Amino acid sequence: MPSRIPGALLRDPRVWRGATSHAPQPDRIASGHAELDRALHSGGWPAAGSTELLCAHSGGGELSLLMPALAPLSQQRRLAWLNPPYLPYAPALLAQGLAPAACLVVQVKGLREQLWAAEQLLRSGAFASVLTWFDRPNLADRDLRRLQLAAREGPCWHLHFRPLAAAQQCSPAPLRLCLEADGDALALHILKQPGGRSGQRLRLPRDPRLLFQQQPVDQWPQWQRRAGPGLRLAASQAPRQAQRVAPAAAEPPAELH
Amino acid sequence: MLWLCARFEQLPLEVLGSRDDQPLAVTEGRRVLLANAAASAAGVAPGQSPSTAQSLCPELRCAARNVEAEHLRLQQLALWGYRFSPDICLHPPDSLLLEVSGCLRLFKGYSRLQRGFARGLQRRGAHFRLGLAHTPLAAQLLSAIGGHSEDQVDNSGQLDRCSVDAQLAALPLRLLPCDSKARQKLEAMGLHSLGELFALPSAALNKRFGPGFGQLLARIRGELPDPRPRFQPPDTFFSERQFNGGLTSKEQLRFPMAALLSDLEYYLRLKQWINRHLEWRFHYCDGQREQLHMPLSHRHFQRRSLLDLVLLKLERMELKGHVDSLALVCEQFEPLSGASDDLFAAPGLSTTEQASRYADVIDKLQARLGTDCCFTPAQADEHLPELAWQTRPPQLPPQNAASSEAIKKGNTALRPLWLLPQPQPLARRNGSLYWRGTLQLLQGPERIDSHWWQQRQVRDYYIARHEGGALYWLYRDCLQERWYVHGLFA
Repeated sequence: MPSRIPGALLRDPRVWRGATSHAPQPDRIASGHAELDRALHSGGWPAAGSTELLCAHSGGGELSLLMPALAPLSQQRRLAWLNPPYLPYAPALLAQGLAPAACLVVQVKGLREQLWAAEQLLRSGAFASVLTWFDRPNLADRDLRRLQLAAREGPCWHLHFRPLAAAQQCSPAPLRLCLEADGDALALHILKQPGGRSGQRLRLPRDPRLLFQQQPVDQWPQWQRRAGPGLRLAASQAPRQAQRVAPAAAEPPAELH
Repeated sequence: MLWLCARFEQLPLEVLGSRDDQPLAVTEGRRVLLANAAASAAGVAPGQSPSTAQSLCPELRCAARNVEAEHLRLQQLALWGYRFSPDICLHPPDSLLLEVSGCLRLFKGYSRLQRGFARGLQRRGAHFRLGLAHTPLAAQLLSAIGGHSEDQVDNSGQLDRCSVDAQLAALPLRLLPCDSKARQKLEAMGLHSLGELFALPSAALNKRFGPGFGQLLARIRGELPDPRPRFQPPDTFFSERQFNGGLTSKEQLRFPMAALLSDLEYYLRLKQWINRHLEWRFHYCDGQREQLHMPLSHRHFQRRSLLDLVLLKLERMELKGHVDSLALVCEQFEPLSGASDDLFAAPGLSTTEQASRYADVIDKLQARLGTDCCFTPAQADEHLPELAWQTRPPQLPPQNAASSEAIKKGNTALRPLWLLPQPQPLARRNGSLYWRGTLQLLQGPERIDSHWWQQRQVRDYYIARHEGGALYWLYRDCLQERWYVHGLFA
């Protein structure tokens, strides 16, 4: 008797629903990837609370996964990066549509201070999203719970980057994702999500521009003298799709040999 | 005109930290100028020599008069008194004069104003006497005896001239601010009160004592104008609290700090300014001094959050001994810029609220972790990738217009989201590049040739794939023939 169930109860993210389809949560953040939006029961990223991203290596596309969601947020509110492993590179952020002026990078040494700073940032309400990296991969359950509560209080979308090994540890974060580079795509595995079944696996292709194979010489950009005055650049044809490259086919340049 | 005069006769004692249980005498030029209650009880009186006083009261502490401190204290009191009237003047060494006729309506009558003024002065530990009259000089004279009552002013703000004139007439002549020769002459004439003097014809007095004397009497009676320089609040803020015997623990500092911040709050409201910096000066009993600087980025002065911030900072500091006095100094201010919220704002926090919360969290982080713990990245116009970004202090307002324009322009070149702080040299294994695993070049090169005017850099940038699937940004230094990894396409 689905009609008897009050709507408010169904909208509660804590209610686990088996088979019925889900209406998107009103305050979700569109992820910018239609496939991911479909896989998440809330219809997008949560606007508040902790989201754990477990990734094996940096450079697998974990930030570009978030960029379509973070870029609109940065236009209205601010983002904080706590203890990032490398420098967020301003020209690349700009190219992705994210305003570097809206970013605050906080570098803190020592786990205790990092946890304190994370809680302050999450609780302040000044940030739409806080991205955190901690020195120690295994945080105590109590600390994780504090961060989740602070993020809900903010409200603030806490993106907690953790190593893959933390997947075994249970966590109070409502949404947990495993990220792994898989060939030309980013493989996602939803370990846990609010409101329903988890365990979805997705492959999101990476930006095809990154994966262009070395272009043959005849497709290189070249200067051509035309009849008209001045020089014009004849652009090489961009490949229609990212080419899959067999590992053996890639040749390092001649200087290496 | 309604002049209220507050006379602080105990000022020389107060600035030297007089306590009721400890006899103290202020000396000036080898004579006791003033003694506190404990010393007076032992027989110490003004005019005695310090040795006489010491023999009367062996535990007496004699201290030389500190005129500078008195003046500073008087100025602080004037700054505080500024909230009662804009027309306030200092009358050194020990009096403040307030013209209050314009402020009666604001305070709903004279009696309320006077009660508030007296209560505030008592709370500041000042001993005072009040005098009220229609001229500044008369108010000053009346404050010497302090026979003052609230009901001298009626509901419409009119002074009861009859009672004031009667009080003036009863004043002894020794209070008259004239030279001692004239005073002796008056005494020899058998005059003892001001009333007797007023009864004499002014032409005769002028003839006897010179025109200056007549003018003095005319100023007392209000027949001649008596302009006074107005007190202006100073351009820098300074406030100090003395602790008798010194404070030992940080917890005890909480209340004086709150009081100092409250002074500053009032000063800032007065000036419509906002401070960007706090400087605390600790003076220890053993003569040591210490300063505590706090840069601030707040948009509104909120005493409570600021106090928390100060205590956070204080937590990290070790007191070097007993704190004798604590001063708060502010020298840099900015005009307060009013910000308005959107009328049809989106749900959630307003932009101004967010900005103030952002400033709060930055202040907290910087107070605990140091000022260089956070920054905002920004783009720079440079060719070399490591120079194409820069750090900006987080307090600066975001350049919204500029940044959105820059987004539109958006460089189409592929740039990694992660940049290594230093390019890492690559090794070669089995004929391929190696950095935490084998690398395989996917595309390139993009040549960047720049800085020929300093140290020429020629680099060919490639995108490479790590054996784990991650994408790296490599370059070959064409001059040194070496490979480096410079970023990660995260």
